[in-house]
Amino acid sequence: MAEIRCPMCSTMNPETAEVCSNCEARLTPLVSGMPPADQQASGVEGIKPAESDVPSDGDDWLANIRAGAIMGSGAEDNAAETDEPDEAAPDWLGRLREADSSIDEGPPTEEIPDWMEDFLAAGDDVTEEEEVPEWLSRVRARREVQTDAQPGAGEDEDWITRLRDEAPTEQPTGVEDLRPSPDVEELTEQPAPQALDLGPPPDVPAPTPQGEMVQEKPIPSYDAGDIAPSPEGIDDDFQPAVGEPILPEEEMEWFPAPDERELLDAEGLPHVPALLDGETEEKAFTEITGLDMDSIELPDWLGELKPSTPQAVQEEDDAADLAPATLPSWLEAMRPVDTFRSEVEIESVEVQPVESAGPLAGLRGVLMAEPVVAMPRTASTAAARLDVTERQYAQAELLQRLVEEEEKEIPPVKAERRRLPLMRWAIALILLLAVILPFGFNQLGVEGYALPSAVSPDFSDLLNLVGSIPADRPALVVFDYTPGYSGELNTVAGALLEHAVMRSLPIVTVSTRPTGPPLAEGLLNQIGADYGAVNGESYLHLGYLSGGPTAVQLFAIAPRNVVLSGYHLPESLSEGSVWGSPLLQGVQQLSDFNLVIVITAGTDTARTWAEQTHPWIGDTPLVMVLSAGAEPLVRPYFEASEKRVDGILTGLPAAVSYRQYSGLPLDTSVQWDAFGLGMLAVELILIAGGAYGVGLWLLRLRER
Amino acid sequence: MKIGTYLLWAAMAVGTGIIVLLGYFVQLDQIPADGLVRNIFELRLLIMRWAVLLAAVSLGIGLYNLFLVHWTKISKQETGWKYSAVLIVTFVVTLILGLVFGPDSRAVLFLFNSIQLPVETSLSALLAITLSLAGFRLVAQRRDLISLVFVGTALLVLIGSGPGIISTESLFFGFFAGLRNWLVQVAAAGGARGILLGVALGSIVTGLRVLLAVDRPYGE
Repeated sequence: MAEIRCPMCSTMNPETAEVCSNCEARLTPLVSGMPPADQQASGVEGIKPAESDVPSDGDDWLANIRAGAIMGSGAEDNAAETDEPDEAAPDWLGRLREADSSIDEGPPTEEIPDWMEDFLAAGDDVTEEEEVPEWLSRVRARREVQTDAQPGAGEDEDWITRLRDEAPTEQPTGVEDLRPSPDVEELTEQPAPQALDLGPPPDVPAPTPQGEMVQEKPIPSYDAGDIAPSPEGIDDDFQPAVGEPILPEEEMEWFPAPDERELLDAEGLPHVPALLDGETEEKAFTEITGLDMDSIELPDWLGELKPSTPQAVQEEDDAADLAPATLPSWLEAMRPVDTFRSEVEIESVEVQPVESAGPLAGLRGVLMAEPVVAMPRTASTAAARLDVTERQYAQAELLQRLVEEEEKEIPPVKAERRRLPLMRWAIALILLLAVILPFGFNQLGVEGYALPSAVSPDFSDLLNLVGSIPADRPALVVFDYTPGYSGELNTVAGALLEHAVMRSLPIVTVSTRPTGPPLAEGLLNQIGADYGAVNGESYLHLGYLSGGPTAVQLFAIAPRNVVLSGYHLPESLSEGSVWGSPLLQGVQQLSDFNLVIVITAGTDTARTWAEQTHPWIGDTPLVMVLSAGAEPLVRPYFEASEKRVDGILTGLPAAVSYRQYSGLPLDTSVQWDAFGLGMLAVELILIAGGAYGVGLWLLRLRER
Repeated sequence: MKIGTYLLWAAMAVGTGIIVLLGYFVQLDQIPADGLVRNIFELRLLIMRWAVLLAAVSLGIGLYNLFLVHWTKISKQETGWKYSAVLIVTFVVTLILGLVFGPDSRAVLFLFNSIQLPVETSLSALLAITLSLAGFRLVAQRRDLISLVFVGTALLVLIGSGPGIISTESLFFGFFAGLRNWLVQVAAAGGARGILLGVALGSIVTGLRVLLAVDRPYGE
């Protein structure tokens, strides 16, 4: 069973194995379209450049060189191949075969440049006897011996095996690591291969003996229009990674493989002329001192490689001894702060792991997919330096203080000594005395406040309005205030309602508040007692109107559809509907009432009744009995050119005046006196407060 | 939410709003009894009755929530749970009395006239004492211009509103009464008109946004 040698560790593996059993390196390439390893093992025989890449006749000098280089050598192995004409083979290969088949004829000198003629002349001198170089003879002899020792199939693989056995283990390394083997040194001592040293520059990586990696690569043709590869280009293209094996296809860029194949067939060792450095290379050049380099017409790309001459090498060595350049101060200042310093050291190729995935699987020393910055490292000294601004420093101090304050033990807060609210009690006592004292004025014989004499024009209009309302239809009174305002509004509204009851004006009450109906019942019951007004005959309660503004609008449109049951109805109406009362006869909508009186302490309620009932109230007057605080917001409806409110009655003074001018009994003298004394007390309290403040201010001014 | 449902809600809201709005511009007595407009007007009334019913239901939900909150407070023995217990007891008693005997029964009127009316009136009386104390402290401790203007205005209105330092028979009372009327009917009414105009504009804009389905308080 055939075996495959691992390109990484040289371990023999079965032919069917994909990875090496020792180092797990991939044995079969992942690149699609590549031939199997067994087919590639044939080495450079598989190399067939495309026809388009075949050099033209005018540039066959390189082929001629090769032909000359192998002229006279044993090409018996290729004889069978050359005997069979291959139409698909490129011209260069055909010429190469012709050179092999016509060894005696020698190279066509008419196509060889002048410098090559000298070179070939020197070679002829060496091979005068048998027209075969001595070194080539030794190679052929060794090959014959080896062929006899290893007959049979697998000849193509044997030379690779032998090559690997003889080659050092560090062979596929970078340029610096490459050293010529002793056999190569021996080859370089021979005059014939010296011509090959003129090819690639010394820093170009050597071709690897890994024949399985060889792919078809066309030989470049450097016509007049083509751009020859410059040394820099060669460096860029062929700059191998550390430990990365050099693919033969890269080598084919600058030198075709057939010569190398010949050499391999001859010695079993790769000829690495470009990598001959140091002593060997110098020695090779010294042996061709008879060759005038300046007289040789070199191609452009070879002319650019002149620095690779020994003088150039010497200059490079001298340049290495130069002191490193120092950056100018201004450029040094522009350098960024060295906050990153990689501590990662690139290990040797043998230590580096084998790539396990991707197209580079099985290779060592490939570039790491993980960036260096992401690898763990120790922080440099520069990274420890913080560039802190003053603001950041202040914020850090603030944060530190906050943390320190959190750790501090808060001392227990001493309970303040409870102070009696003497001032509050004093003011409450003053106000209580002010409203209570008038009740004893009669017993004490104290004359109270005089009744108000001034009458505003608004008041007279209201008085005339209520006095002129016919009593054929009822007046609707809306009790939309809470019990808290009953002390003020009962007094103010009482005057108006008493006037209506005195005039025998039927009264129907309704409320949008749940507490409205009881307040209405209480007030009308109190008023009606003096005038003989009876519930169900003189007044009637429709009750609570639920729904807010919507209910108000519905009530204005169709009161009978909204209010179905009354409140505190007499027994005669308790079984039926409230609308069966004689008071509500003829009332179908809001405009059927003779008067609408809204008693409220809130501005929103007043606005709701003024706005929602306006389209349906018709000519029925709307009167507002308000708390003193709601007057400013309702007055615009009263003072407008198109009045929404026909009368306003606000405050106790207006109620007392209403009683005076409407002929109602003045039984509010006690309330008037209490109101007056209460106002006096509040005014005195405010004045006393102002005097106290001014006194304290003067005392502090004196103390200063 | 599906766009079809959204369009349905928006169409219902806009249609209802337009129908209710048209009722402000249509005189009821001018509508023929057997016309389409009359039917639309009747539909408007129906929608408004539904709104009233929903308002009553919301009131019931509010009462249920009030009961539940205080009941939870009692169950967890939280701070002030005793007050919640008093509220629950009075709530249940009043509700039962109202449901059994009616809201206009003597028992309910007794509770109203004996508890609710005095309590709320007393709170209003305490408001007078609190405001008087606040006025005293204001002029005694904060002697800045705003405080002086505030307390000075209050003092002028008090003097002009009724008998106090100056009797109503005094010649000076007429001056203070006129000054008080000017402050209330000119200065305060001017500010009140501004507030009303702002409220009216806000109401119009809000109504238009709902009618145009820009605002969708009924949900997306």
